[in-house]
Amino acid sequence: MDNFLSFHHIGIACRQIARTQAFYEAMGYDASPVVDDPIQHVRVCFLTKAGEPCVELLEPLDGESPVARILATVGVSPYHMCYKVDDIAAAVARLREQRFLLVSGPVPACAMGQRRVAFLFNKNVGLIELVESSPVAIE
Amino acid sequence: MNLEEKILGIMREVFDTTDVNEQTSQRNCENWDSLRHLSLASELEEAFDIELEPEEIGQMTDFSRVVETVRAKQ
Repeated sequence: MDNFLSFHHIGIACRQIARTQAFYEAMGYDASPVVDDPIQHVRVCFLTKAGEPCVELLEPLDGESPVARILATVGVSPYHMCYKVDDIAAAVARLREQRFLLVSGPVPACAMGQRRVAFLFNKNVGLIELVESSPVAIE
Repeated sequence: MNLEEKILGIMREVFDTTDVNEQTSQRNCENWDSLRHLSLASELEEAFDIELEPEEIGQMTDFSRVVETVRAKQ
């Protein structure tokens, strides 16, 4: 398999972004503005630091949020790795061939500048997110 | 082994309990959490050589609906 996935960030489910964000800021990470994404039912904040992996904090907006279900299962925890892809439809198709379930998407993500994201699951890999390199063209 | 028996076996293995029967649902099975739900869907795809859509994965909330979903894909 050639490398069509480029690491983007680690996603962490948290109950309150501010509380988890404080730990990373104390370690020198810079925090993005917090964005609400009603499509994904999450509140999102990105944390960046030169030379370190990007971290995405996700707080549930409501009980329907998949993050609420993750919190109920494992508590505050890293729960997905995100990879950047050039063509999200093609990447989803390739991963489906490798027995990844398509859990959601592709849908535009507010916190990602309207770039489309999709979540997939494989029992040997876990949950991954794909984000496409460029935003969807709005006609 | 019929389809229902095969699905019960998969559910028992995924949920790591023998306490699974025709009345089992997300509401009454403590081990049926969100991550094991994805594992269940993954095992069903492999066992029955089917592809489940996100909506179908979401609607498999009890044993009967799991059976209905798998049967409809065959």
